[in-house]
Amino acid sequence: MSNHLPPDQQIKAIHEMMERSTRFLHISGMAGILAGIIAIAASWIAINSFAFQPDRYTYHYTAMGGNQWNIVYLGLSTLVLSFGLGLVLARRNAYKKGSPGWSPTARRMLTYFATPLLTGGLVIFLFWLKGFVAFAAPLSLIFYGLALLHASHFTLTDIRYLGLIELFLGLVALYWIQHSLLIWAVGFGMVHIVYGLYIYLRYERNS
Amino acid sequence: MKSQLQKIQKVFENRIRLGIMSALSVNETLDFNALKELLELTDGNLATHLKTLQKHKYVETKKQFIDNKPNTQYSITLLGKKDFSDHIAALEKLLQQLK
Repeated sequence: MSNHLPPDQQIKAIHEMMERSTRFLHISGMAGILAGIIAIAASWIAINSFAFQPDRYTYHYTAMGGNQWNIVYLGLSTLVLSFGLGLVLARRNAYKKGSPGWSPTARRMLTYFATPLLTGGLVIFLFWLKGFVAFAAPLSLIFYGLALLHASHFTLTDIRYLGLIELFLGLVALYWIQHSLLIWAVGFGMVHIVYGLYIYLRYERNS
Repeated sequence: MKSQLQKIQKVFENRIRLGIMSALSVNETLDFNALKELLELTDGNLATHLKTLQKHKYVETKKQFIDNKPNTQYSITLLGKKDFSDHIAALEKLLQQLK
């Protein structure tokens, strides 16, 4: 390959390098679909097995015969499992395309994603300790939406709309707190499956 | 004026230098390894082209230590930014004339 390029290819090369050096483009739609299924399963367990269905902001779950740590463990395992799947499958995508799995762009995207998410996690935990148990579902949607919006500058721009949808659902869930678990299942479950499918069909299937 | 533009073009028409400038123009700084990964080059090859760009005062370096290991951060200079955008503008103009 020659080291000198004609003008049109120079322009193309410039745009490609600008994008490649700022955005991590190997996020996995398949991971989105799987995370959606996990989220629906988790909310089903919370409602049916743990009888968790808060209808106001303060919710004395223990007084209703349940162990509130069950819900905390369930939430944390859902998060770890989905996040782990996202990481593993994105790495696999990156390797398939011949780029390193842990590149500066991947690091940057993750930092931008993780900061709002960790803040949100702490906010939810502090609220939970003070008895405001029902804030968990709406706030996780809101902070997850903010994290996606933040990270969307450094990955596929499609992620921006996913962030806005989750943000909107979080605000709705905050208002209709009695339906917050159902809305959570829609946001983390259904929306993830639909969006994951879209990303998968658009970017992954043909590779 | 024309010879100035030709001089700029000479530096940027090389695909590796073009890649380095593109990456540095959208990143505050990048270290040697990050550039190497992005451009898929060997150490020697990348170093040669970085030196050329430094010689033209398009790229500057900042040396620092991370965990006691020397680490060189590369960034684009003001002159680099200006001449690179001039180069892109010239390319686009050329393409429009061809259409």
